[in-house]
Amino acid sequence: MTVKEYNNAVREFGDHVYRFIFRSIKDRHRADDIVQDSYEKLWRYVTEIEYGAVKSWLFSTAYNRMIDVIRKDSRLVGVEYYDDSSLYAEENGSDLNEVLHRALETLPPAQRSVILLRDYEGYSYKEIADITALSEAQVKTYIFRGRVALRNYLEKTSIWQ
Amino acid sequence: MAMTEDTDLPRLTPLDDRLQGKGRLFRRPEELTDEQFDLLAAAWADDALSGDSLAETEEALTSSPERRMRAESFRQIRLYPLIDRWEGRNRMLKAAPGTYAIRRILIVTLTVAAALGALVIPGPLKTKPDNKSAGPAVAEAQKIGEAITIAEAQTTGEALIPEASPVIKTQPAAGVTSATQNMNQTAGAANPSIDKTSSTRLAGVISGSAADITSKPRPVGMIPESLRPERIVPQQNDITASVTNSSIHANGEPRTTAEIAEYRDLAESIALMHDFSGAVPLLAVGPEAFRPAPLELKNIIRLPVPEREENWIVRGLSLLAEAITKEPTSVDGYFIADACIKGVNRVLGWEMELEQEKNNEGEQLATNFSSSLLTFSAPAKKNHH
Repeated sequence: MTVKEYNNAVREFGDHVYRFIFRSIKDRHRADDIVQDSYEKLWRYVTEIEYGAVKSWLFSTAYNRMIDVIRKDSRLVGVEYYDDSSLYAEENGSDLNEVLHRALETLPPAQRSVILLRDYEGYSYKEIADITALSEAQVKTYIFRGRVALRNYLEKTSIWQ
Repeated sequence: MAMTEDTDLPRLTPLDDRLQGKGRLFRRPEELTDEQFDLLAAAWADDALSGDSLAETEEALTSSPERRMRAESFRQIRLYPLIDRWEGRNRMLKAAPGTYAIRRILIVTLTVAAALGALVIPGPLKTKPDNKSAGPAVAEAQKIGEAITIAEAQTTGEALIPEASPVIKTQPAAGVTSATQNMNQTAGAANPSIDKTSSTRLAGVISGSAADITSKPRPVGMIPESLRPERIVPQQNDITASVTNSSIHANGEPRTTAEIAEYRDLAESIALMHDFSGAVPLLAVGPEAFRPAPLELKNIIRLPVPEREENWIVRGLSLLAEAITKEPTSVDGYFIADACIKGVNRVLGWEMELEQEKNNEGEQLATNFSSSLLTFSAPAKKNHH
């Protein structure tokens, strides 16, 4: 990959990787750090990575870095288990997409990430499996369970009626 | 002895034991629980089913319109990206190796230009170290007999007067006439000292010679109209003064023309100075001043202090800006330096700052510069206290 291709990767995929990480951990500063670390790592291996594979490589690197951060940060791990019942009353009159994003925050990190990769980036189950180092069956299970959880969340709000 | 196959590998043959209620375990798609159906519906909505799975699910959906509606609702469970922009994107862009050298040269050049702008250009705007520039008013004596003795107020710093210059500090206003008279007692001395306890209330010491005093006759045409003799209204309490015909008296009687001429040289050697605050008038006189001279300096007026003389670079830039914009434009050193630094910031994305520190009266105290690499504060030059 050339310097020009590297810069293209920054311009083209930077926002994508950032929004994936940010929506996964809901922390702008950490997301910024994680994406920046990923690009710094890309720059170190710039001559070894093909431009065609750089997007998946970036998502994979950022995802793994995010998992490390989540494991180290007990507060973020706690998000997986927090009580979301107080959220339901506030969803009246909101846009469905915004409500879904709020509902997404109630999902476990693994489900959240695979759904984001599927919906935001349109990756296939196989590609998601490669990025997240999960099996394809696991990816499918996480996605389907996640969608059921999102639907159940919507059912509890008035926006679904 | 030959062994038969049966004796070599004895095997158990299944008996006819069959599951009697096997038929009860068969399930139809309609029998899926809601949770199971939701998972299947999610997969169906995600187009993840194929072959027999898809056929069976379709069959279940056909048999139950409610479930079809529920399954259809999963198609709405899609996340669309919100506007999340990565603000640190530009930080990660890398320049091509060839552009590094150009960028470095550009950075160094612009930084030097900004530093020069911040440090050098504002400098000349301060007081010039001579008697003809900024500072307390200096009165230049004019020829008394011709038209008027006008002291042109010029600005110069008290500290900038050469030590050799004869300078007498006096208390404000009172006793100027008697000061002159008492000076007579020490006339002829090369460096006469003035008794501080005398009625003149002299506060300083005379030193040096009159040659250091700059005295330049000025044509009448250059005298401001407000200061011409016919316009001057004597005021008792004015401090820094110009001497006019009508201000020279002998025992209350006006002097003759001959007497006036006699004191012409004396008048030329007198320079009246005044500091900015107006509290302490300064009187500079030459040795000639110590001749008998019943000079009354009643008519003292406050002289206007001209504006600071601008640096030629700044003046030129102001004129250029005026010519381009067709509007009166005042460019000063700070303006130029600030523009340089803002330009560098815009080009390189740096965060350098230049700011003026002023007191409550709007006087500049210092210029502060700050950046990630360098921070300094340059105090403004003071020419008065």
